[in-house]
Amino acid sequence: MCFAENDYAEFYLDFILGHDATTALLVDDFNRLKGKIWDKEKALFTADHFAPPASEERANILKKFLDFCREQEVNNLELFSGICHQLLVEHPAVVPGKLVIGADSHTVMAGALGCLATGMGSTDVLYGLITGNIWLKVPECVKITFTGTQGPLILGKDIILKVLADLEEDGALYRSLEFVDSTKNGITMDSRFSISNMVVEGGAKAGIFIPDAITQSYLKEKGADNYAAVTVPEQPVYEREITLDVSSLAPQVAIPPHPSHAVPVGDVAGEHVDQVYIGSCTGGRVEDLRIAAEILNGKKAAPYCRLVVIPSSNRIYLQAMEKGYMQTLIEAGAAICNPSCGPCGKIDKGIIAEGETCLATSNRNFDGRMGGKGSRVFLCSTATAAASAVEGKITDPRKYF
Amino acid sequence: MLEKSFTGNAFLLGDHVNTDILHPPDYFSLKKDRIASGLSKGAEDFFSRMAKDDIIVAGRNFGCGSSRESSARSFAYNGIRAIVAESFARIFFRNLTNQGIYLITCPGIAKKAVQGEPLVIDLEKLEVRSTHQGWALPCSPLPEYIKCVLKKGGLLKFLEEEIKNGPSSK
Repeated sequence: MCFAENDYAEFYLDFILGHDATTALLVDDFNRLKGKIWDKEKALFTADHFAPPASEERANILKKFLDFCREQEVNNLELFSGICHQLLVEHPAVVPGKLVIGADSHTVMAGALGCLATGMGSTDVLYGLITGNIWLKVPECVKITFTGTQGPLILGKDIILKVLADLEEDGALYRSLEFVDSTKNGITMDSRFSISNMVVEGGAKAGIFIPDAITQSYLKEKGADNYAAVTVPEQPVYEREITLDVSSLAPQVAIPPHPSHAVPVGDVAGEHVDQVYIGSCTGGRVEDLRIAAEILNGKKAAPYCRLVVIPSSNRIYLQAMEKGYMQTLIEAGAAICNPSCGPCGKIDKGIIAEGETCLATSNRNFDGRMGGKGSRVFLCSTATAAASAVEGKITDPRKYF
Repeated sequence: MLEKSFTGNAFLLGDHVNTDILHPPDYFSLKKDRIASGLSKGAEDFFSRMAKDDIIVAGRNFGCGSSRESSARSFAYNGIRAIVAESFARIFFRNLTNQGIYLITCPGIAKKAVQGEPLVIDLEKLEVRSTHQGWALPCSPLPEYIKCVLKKGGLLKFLEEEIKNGPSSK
């Protein structure tokens, strides 16, 4: 038979995420099998990649996705209201202890809420949508404890880039990372999302924060108060245990072509940038927009340095507008695009030319990730991105503190 | 049925070859021929240099990056049946397996195999060996669930069977 001890098994799913592009890819097979979604309350569909579509081909892909949603009479459809991973964590059903899969690698972001959330391809998600199950293996676990006190303008992005650099490209392959926040002031929820979002760049299956008061307060705010406590077993088995004291952490910048190639900002300071991109599922939340606005307040992006800002969701966009952050960013010269995946993965507005360099708060810096051949993407926190936009070159943000 | 072996000439790729190199995001499409034409159209087009019976021998973390299944499908659409690597990235491993492609994890293979040398992937003896050089390296056994998926020719056909015969058929 198909099952052996300590091997792959099928697990019941609590929630599934699908977006326009990767869901459209499963529609023909879903229809051919005359599929029905096993539990419509437990599936969220978002149109965020081609939002709104910029070409005829993409319009056709979006139509296929929307026709599917209409025919299946889905319960949770988010049309152009944000990036799927952000909408997933904003959804009230996504709470600690849930097993969540999504047809996108950065689904791991929901691990910040204490879920086992992981990315898969379209066929896996099709299987999950019809059966409510998925094939998985219990992963080895690496415990990472954060201690110390975050210095000024040190964000979750700096922490995860440092973790990835320490683990190297495949140091977390197949593993689940368990994060324990023992820092003095606590890592903000927005920063935790950035941390969990990028664990896949080290190969991890999941990046789970042990829920604490910060998690509870976020869950309360989104109206999710009915969930079981997630606790660590009395004698947990870890493959490895790592402690990272964040006190002495400098802002980090990941050099292309891999997110784990992070160095302290000083090592690359002065590198010319043609564009600064603040946004994506990794770096476009309220904390990011606030810090960008604080640094750019009363200043302008350097001449010829394009500044592109994309909030991660409409909810975030509205909050940032209310606080005046968007006005400040526009006055600083930013082009604001609607919440969507933007130039990440060469998807939408903000693509760079051959040979150009973009400094981005997003999560991947593979060769040509955001544009033509020979174009480069450096990854950093929003603080570093905003400071660098002012100077037109990679800059240590702490001078603007 | 489950394949017992594959033979072909080693075509070497390095460590951490990512999905943007294997299949750039702008080749994402719902059209089969467009997906097929995007294979290795990223930083370096290696596929155009591959002969029909070559077997990819990759290094560590093969296929790291995106979950876009178009990348995995481009391998299937181009007739690739088996790949050997030091290790595979997690999502890419799932996606290729779901397409019915045999992924053989063989530690040490990247240093051992020489470009172009004839190889046998022996799934009964659980080894990869060189017919000319005489060496053989052990490879990891295929997990039972994955054998079931591969026997059917991929997860979709596995699911079709499950719908027809009920979950107890697994």
